[in-house]
Amino acid sequence: MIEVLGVKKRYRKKQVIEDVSFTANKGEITCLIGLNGTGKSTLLKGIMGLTPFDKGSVLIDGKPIDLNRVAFVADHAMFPIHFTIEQCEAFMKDFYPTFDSALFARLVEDFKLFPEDKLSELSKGTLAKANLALGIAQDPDYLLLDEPFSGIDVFSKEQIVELFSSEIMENRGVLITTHEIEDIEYLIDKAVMLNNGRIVREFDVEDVRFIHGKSIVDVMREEYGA
Amino acid sequence: MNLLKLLSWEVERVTKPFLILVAGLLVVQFGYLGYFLWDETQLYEQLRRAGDADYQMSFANYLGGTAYLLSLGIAVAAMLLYSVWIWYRDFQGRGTFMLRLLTMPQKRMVIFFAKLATILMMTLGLFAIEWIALKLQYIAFTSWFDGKMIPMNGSFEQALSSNGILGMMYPDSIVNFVIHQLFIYIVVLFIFAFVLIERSFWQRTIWSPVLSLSILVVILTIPILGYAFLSNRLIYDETIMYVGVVLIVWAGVTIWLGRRFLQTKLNV
Repeated sequence: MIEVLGVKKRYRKKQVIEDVSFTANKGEITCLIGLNGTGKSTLLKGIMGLTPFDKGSVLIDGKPIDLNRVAFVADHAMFPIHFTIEQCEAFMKDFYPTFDSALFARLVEDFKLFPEDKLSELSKGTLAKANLALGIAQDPDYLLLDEPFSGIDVFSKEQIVELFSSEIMENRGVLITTHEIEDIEYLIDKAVMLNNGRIVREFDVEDVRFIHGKSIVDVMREEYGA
Repeated sequence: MNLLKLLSWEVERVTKPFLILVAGLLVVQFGYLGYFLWDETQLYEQLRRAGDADYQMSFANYLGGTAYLLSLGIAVAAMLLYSVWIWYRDFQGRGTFMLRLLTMPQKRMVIFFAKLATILMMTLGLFAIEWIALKLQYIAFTSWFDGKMIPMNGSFEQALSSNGILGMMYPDSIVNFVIHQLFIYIVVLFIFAFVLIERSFWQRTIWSPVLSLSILVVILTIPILGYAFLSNRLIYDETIMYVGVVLIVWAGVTIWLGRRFLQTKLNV
């Protein structure tokens, strides 16, 4: 389980994240929900130590974060864009002891990626799939995804959503931020809603759906008054 | 092991710009040498006709030429800029490589030392290539004037030691060479510390580089002020000892700062 405990982050005079605590379980998809600028990406980066929190801590199964067990997938390339997908794979093999080449090859095939393509030549959707393939092939217990659907076409979205419901993602914990809630709503187990850097609601999506007959978007409307 | 692997990736990334720098350097120097030989030969002919037989060619004159010194200056500036760019390039552009580097399951100082080793290898490589270029230029210089039966004075070593920059790059003793290299590495360490402190300010404004620079200026000036205060009381051996200790302190403090900011403060 990823435990985020009392984290805070200030930007100039604004408290971007204000005493946020939540958990994301292994084998579940937890979605961080919020309008633009509510601190979702900052939270993910903070968990990975890319934007250190001012206060608070993050534990993975009760221990400090182990980067062999957690992968982060940004919404843009995490390699120099003149790298080919092959070069990215070679780099990952060199530095990630858990990198699974066979799994990567399978994902490359499923996503119809071409290893010799440079990242600079990829469309946004193809780049998102390449990023995801590189992240999943790290074979992590937990996967942190920052806006994986941002600006990509419907077919690429479908492929990614299909991947989430495949056996490849079984037993992995996923913490995701996305604005495309409707596309993955039926996959989400838990939602953590943020507003002005605070958690305003945390709920089991199935409970809300079956007990209250509401979708995540309905709950968002209530909370954000949209 | 990871350090060597990352060093290999860094070296691969730097190879192209490094070769461009070297090629530019050689083209400028050999081009200027050609011009210098032609121009000096003309001058010698004029003087000979005027009856001034004492004029002799000197390799030191070539090394003191504006174009030659400018080529060295540009190479030094390029190396300094690259020491900054080797970090900033990983924060810039559509592919933020720093995200990948910082999320690798290993100690972040591996990144620091891989980049440092890359700069050191580039520096040593540049020194070695320039040494070979100088030897070739000297051979061309002596062959040309020998062929024209024009008298020359001064040896290769004398020409180098009479040039301020080359005298520091290629000193007489290996000990001095090592000391001069250490000075270069300390400059690089200060640059690295500057970048890492500056990149650790999440609220990046015009003040981020100013604050970063201020911290380093304090670290740099305290021992210098200390020396100004102590210089009259130190004998030669003690001065050498003082300089040695200061260099070690500078290296230690900049590496410590780099480690602290890289591991716990850096913002991407």
